[in-house]
Amino acid sequence: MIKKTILLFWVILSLNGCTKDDLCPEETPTTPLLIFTFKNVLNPLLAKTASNLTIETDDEIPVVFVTNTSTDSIGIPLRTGADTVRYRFILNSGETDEIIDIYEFNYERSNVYVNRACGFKTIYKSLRARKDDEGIFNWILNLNITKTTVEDETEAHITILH
Amino acid sequence: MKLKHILLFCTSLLFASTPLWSQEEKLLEVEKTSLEEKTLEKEQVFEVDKTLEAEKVLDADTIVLPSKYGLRVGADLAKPLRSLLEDGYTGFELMADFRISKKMYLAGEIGNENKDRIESNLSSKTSGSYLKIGADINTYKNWFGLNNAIYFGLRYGISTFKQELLSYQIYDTDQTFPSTIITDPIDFYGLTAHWVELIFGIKTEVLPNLYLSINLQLKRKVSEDTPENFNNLFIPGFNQTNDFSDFGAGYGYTISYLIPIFKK
Repeated sequence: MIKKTILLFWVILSLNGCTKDDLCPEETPTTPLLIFTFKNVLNPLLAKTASNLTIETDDEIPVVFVTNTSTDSIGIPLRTGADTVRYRFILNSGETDEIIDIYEFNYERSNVYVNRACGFKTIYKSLRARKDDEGIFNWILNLNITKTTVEDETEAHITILH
Repeated sequence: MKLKHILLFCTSLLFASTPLWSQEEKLLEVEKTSLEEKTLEKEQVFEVDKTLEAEKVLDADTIVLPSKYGLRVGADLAKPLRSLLEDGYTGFELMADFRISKKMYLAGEIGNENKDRIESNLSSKTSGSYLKIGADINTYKNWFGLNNAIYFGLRYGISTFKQELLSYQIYDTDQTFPSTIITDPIDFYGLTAHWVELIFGIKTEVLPNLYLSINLQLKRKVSEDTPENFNNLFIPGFNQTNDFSDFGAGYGYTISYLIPIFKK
């Protein structure tokens, strides 16, 4: 009798054996965001807050990442499925003195194995930025790529002077 | 996964050790009968010469049954059972051991395992064969005429396998863009891994010369070929690997048959 019970238990255990793999911990460095810092054009050592900033993709139906935020640094994603992405940087959004600057970012992608819970991440190399000629009113006076390789989020990759 | 192995081991331990308990019950009966015999004999001893008869009784008690030496061959039952019950797993293992002294057995296993890991973030397939060679030491003192074992074993394991990376999804903490899934299978052939293994197990003779055995294996990787920009998620013979340590675990449930060659 006891043998039968244990055998049954054994079979049930084997059937229930599938356990989910560990979830990817948040602190694990995975696909990095593109980090911007905003500096004062008169003194590039000083941080300068961009007020009421909105960042969205330059599409007919834009994907909005940041809405009406005043900050001196921000992280936005690059596309893991394409080598290019276009962003609209809107200062003073929603107000009368709203200014839109459009930039296109080009890069090379490579996929790097992290671990079995997180899978793969994408890192970006040879980052380039190109300004779109959409008008004469620009608030970004200089967009400087400080790191052409985007593989972590420890330092800013791009400095914007305004 | 870890919990499953532990539970499996505990229950299997219970299962495998039941014949050992029954052995003790039987032996209690044996002890009782021998005690009765002894008291009977003692009464007789009083009638005849005390010391002489006592010696004779001792002689009669120490009958030496020659123990069997030979080649034991068998197969792991857990792997075919797992093949039936678990999707994406097939495997088998054959084992053999040869008794070289009262307690020592030369032992080895040979096997083949295939394991698929189909998950949304990462899908891969591993397949390959392995060989384990080492020795077992029986620490169990058997009662008269029984051939059970509680043993410790040491093995050196070698595996040769291939790993296929089928597809993966790019992990992105930002979910605004549609996630990218790469389905560009890459094969990694001719991978090898080496490990050492500590085994603890119980063997019981359920029928003459037929043994059932349950064992738990603790493994530590010595070396491995890591595929470029990927990792070995499973190693045949080693079982599932761990991302953050070189240790692994396994279990076996073996049926084996002893081909007696000589008696000692």
